[in-house]
Amino acid sequence: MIQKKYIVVIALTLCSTITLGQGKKVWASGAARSLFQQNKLNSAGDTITPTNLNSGNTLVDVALNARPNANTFVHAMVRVRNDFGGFWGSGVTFDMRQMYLKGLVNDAVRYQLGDINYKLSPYTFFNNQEELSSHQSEVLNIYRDMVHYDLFYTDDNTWRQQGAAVDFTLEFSKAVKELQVNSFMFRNRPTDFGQSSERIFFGGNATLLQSDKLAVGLNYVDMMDVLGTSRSEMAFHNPVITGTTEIHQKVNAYDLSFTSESGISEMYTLNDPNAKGLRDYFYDLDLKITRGDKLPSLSVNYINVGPQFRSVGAQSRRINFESQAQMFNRYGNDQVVRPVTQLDMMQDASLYQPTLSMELQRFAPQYDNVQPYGKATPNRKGLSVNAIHSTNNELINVDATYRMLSEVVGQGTDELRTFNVIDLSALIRLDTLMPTFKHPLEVSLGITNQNTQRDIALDTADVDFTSTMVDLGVKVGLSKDFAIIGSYRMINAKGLEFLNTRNDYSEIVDFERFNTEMNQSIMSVALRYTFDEKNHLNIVWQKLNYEDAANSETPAFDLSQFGIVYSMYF
Amino acid sequence: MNRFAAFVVIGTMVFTVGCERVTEPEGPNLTDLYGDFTVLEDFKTSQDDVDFSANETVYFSARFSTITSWTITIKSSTSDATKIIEGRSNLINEENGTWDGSTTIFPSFGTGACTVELWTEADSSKQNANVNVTGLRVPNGTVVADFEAINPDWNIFAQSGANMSFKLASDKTVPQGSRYFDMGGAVNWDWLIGLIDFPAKSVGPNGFGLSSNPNESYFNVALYRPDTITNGVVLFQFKEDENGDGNFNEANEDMYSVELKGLDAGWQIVSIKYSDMVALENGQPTAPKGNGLHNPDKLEMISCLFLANPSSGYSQALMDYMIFTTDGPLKL
Repeated sequence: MIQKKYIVVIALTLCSTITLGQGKKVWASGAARSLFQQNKLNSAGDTITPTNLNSGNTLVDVALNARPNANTFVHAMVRVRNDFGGFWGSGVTFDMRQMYLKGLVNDAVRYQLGDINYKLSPYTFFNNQEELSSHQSEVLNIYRDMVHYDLFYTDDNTWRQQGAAVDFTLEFSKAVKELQVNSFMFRNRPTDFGQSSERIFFGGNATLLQSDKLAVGLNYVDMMDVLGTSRSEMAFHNPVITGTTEIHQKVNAYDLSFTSESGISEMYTLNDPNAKGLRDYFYDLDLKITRGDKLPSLSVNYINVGPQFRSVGAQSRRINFESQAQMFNRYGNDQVVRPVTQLDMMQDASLYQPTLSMELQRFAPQYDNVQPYGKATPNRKGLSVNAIHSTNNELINVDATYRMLSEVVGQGTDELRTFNVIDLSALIRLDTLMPTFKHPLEVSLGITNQNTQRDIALDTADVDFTSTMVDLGVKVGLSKDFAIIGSYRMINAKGLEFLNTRNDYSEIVDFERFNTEMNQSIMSVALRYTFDEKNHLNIVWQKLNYEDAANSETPAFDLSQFGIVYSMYF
Repeated sequence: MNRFAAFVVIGTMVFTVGCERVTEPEGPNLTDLYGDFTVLEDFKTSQDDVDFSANETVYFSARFSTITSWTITIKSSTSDATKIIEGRSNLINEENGTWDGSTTIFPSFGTGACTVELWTEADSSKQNANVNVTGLRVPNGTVVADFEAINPDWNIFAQSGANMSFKLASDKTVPQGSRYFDMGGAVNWDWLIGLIDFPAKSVGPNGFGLSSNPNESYFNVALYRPDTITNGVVLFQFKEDENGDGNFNEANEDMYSVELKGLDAGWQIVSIKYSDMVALENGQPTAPKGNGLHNPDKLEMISCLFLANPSSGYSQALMDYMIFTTDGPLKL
């Protein structure tokens, strides 16, 4: 371990020396973070669970960047972490966090090898945001941003993979403007030389830009086992092919944009007599109308995603609801597993998964019952309408969506579930009304209401499930560098739903009753000091209340938390 | 441009919508799951007496109006031997309710009367039946060690740690016979607590007598973890003599391993198909050092290493009835 410390110190010294000596051919970058938390759990009558839990750590990510020539870039990052209480190196860990090299061949072809962030379309390769993340007050992002950073989740919905990627563009003088080509191949799983074969994920995209008004594209991805890399003769395959269209047209004073994507997928396992192949199609049509900045932009979307549509790259979820919260994972005198709450979803990295999953993973209906696998959620069809508007002085920004969906085929019955969703988020910048007030004064509001219904002749299998989330946030600037940020977010879920139990081949084999009457809320307040844009100190207090009247085995509890969070990027 | 765009859009739509789609409802019928529950056919056995030594089996049957979870529990009237069969269906028959004489909770069944109870989740009801065992099942395969006595060809090594117990014992219930091998001790300077080598010659003149097809041979062993001990690791190594010189050479011959951690408390049968074994280095899969082929017919020696983190204190595991079977995993 001491040797590892020396390596880091030498690397840092070396890179700073070279930086000074050769003018930015080699330089260091990275991030540093320190976190200290005091947590207190309270559940009436619980005499067993320790109620107080303190934790903290400091970590530094140090990256060595090198540009050995004009067309090559190399990056390697090491993480050094020390949990509080581990003195003199006993609690220190060293990990290689990421490593890649990229460059340009012949001034035409870009390539990257190693760790790569990548995405294609929402139906082929896309890292959908986790539940509740569409409406988050600024204070709730303090912990969420740390989890995202640790797991390489980005706002542009890329997945972190390891492998190679190549892209290039061909320009034409006639008929079409250019052809953009991207391709990748990632290693998803190594072989164990026994019965588990090497699994790769590969594909690409070709987009033909005919003009600024028209573009058409083709996406192809395939997750597959490579025969011959193990003793197994079975090989999983999930090819997906889609076509995209993008048309922009001005009609009078209106800008019209039409985008579409449609395609087919297959999922099968070669040489497995028990595997029934799945095959299905989808289409997604979207029309957007805008007229300058004075009127709201309107979008109308229609989707139809078949029940057997499977796309591993697009349907893998971030949160694994089959795992347990790390903090106070059992509680009550019966030491039952503590339900995953919105507080855990914000800050418990162990709930999240960094890799693609072959199966349609369990989801939590109380947080999202309508499209838990993003737009590629199988067995959904219907219409969505969206309006976005910002006032001229930026006083009010509003984003509102209404979704009216249903199943394509029934589950256990011919009757279809119907889904209705109202989604509203607004940001009101009150400081724009007060010219003398030079600091931020903002109020944000997020509301999501989801309702699922299914009426069948068998009363005991009717579905009537509603969840509502309301998030009210505030930000008050006290000075140039100090601000108070706060939020109150409540989530209610009530009713009966049936969760799918699927076999190894993604087929539904059973339905499990899910009955809840859950209320949870979280109050968060933070004092933030901003050293600069990439350097913050936050002192955060949060209190969560949770109860589920329909499930007596999980008693009500509240969890309060005080934290000091320092983060910087350099 | 407009005509081209229309062509692209319509072409894409026709391409996808032209594909076929399954329109049947997904999953089992909800009425079969959540309708009114009644017993349509009472619980019964296919025969009153069963002789497992003659390859006979007995099956249980019942029929319900809806799909429900059910458990059949067979208990010996002369010992604690128990067999549990679980399922979820509206029909219990030969396919899902057959007893082949095997055991879930040891000791193994002896001859004599057994009581059989069916519990159904839908109405929490219980129904009973009886079956009489007239002959015991005989596992089919090559017994490597039944631990009734120490074979002089075995190489047994135990560290000189504290509370060492690398020996035969008989003071607990055993899955088979009357004795088992007790591996226990505390070694604070090494992961290895002790090991046993089982050379091919200890089994008989034909060695392990396995076929060349690695998909046919199953390695089975009964292991016991005491309730309070969680730090033990049992590592089996399968060493092949690929060049036929009578020895295993670790530099250029294959060694496959089975590393067992986190065993359940109590006795359990661990079974693994020979072709599923992997080569390990420090617990991680690695490429074998020999021909890379699973050659059970060239198996020269099995080593059983009992390990524990030296800083974790005393550890213990019990072992019984090591056998290669050819017709599937061992059922005792």
